[in-house]
Amino acid sequence: MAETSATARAAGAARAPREGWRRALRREATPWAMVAPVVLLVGTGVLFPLAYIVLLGSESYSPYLGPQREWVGLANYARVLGDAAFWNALVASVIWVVGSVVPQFLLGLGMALVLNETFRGRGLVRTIVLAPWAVSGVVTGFIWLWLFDGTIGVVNDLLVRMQVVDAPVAWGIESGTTWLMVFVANAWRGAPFFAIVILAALQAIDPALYEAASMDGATRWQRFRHVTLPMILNAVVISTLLRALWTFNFIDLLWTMTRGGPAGATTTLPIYIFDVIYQKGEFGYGAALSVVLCLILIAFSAAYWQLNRLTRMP
Amino acid sequence: MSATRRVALDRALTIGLPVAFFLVFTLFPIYWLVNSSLKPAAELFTFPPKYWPDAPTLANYGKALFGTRLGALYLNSIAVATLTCVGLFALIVFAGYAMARFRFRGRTIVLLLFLLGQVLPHVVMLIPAFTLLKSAGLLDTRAALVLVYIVILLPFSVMTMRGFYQSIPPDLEEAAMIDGCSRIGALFRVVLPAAMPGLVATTIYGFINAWNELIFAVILIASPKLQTLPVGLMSMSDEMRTEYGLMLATAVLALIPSLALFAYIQRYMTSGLAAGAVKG
Repeated sequence: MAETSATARAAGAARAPREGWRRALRREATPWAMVAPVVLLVGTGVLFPLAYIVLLGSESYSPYLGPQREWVGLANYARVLGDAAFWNALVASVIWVVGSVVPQFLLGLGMALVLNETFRGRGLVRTIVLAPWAVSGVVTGFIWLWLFDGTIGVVNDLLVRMQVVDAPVAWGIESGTTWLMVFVANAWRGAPFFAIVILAALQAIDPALYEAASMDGATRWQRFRHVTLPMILNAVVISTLLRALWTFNFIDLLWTMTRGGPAGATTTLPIYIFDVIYQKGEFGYGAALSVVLCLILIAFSAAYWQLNRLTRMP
Repeated sequence: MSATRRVALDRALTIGLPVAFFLVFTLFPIYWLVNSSLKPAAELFTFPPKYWPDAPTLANYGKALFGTRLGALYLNSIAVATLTCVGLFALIVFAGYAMARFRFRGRTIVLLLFLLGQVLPHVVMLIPAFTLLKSAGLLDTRAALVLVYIVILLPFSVMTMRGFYQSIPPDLEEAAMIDGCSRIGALFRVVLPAAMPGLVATTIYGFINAWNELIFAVILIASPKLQTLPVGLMSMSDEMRTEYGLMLATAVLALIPSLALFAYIQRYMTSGLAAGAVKG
């Protein structure tokens, strides 16, 4: 298309320059008029924040205290590197992402494989199983805090009845049980995401492939391993990356359930930034932390992509 | 064992068992929330807990609806989410169409911008949004939230609408244009009716997200009377730490619209909405 427009422009230029220019304008005007408001809004919403945090990252600015702003160079970034809370937050972020995405993926894969089969009531089962996706992080946190309550919670009752534990567990008092609790809650809400994406990929597989595999005498596992898996691999790779990035930035559920505690153990990087901005009102330092967060996400995405490319080499 | 019985057993193990597990895993927490919300205070704090309330009561719901500011929070959330939808709807009808049907100069850059918009962390946008809206005099207004929600939902919504438009054959509008329709006339009379289910699903997706959003609502809204439901839920849980029954009823009431709307758009999830499902 770029080529044809270039030829058209050249032809126009040869005949009457103004006519070609006008025709080009008319061709471009309709789509641009249609996207311009959106480009303006999204452009402002994306480019302004990026530019602003880079600029503010080199300033000392606490609007709660007063309007004065001071240029401090790289001091904020030096502070990040020496900030023990930052490094703790980074570790918490890794635990949060891995502990969330792995069970979500496994459950979601299981859901998708089952929901792709035909059985009576499948439509209803699908609606029910995927529904937690629509529940907010805050309400999910609420529900699971109540289930995991240390004194009157039903999870403890069930565990004691099934003799998994001897006495009720004091969930959320120390970091181990806190992580376990939020991982279960997040798996409940997040598994449907993977189920939806993988189900979409499964439905795109040509049934003839399975027929051919069955005719060749492939077992159920072989069909999964050599037909299903290769066909959904792209969807899995991309959705896992996106889910990891999204989970990294997802505050609502964790904040509702733990407020970053106990003793900062579940304060992930975004929660720490939120804390620096909202509780302490340190906008300059918060901006520097935001820049560092963006760099970490870019580095992670690049590494993931590279790893994916390398492991797929024949 | 006969072959049919073996097949039946096989299906029970590979389909029935996992289906039962997923149903229990999904439904039990919601059942437990509803069950607890129907208990009077005396039953709420017994251990072991009762799996069915002895004396179910709607008292908690009555108190939540009429004894707290939950009603106001509900209206705020409905207003913000609805206005977000209206804005999104008006914008994505055209932008999605342009991205699906035209090859114009700068299209690749626009696509990149949308991609960036989908992966940019919201926590990074907090300070800039706060500053920008403050200088516009919009801080602590519902309009600020509507504006921010439209901006953060647009990239996903436009790309999803683009997918829905692309699934409609272009012959439709070409035929209409040969019959003398203008491009816009063809869009409204021919394409839009066919794209409407997808458009509605995308808009409802936006509603659910606006309904659920927490962190911008915390940062941009200071007045308790302007709070949205998620923020109100969090601060109410701090204010009324001992009123468990009330909070549980409130959580049920916050849950209902999300689930009802999800049930409606669910069938689009694996077709159109999954294609651009970047946001959880």
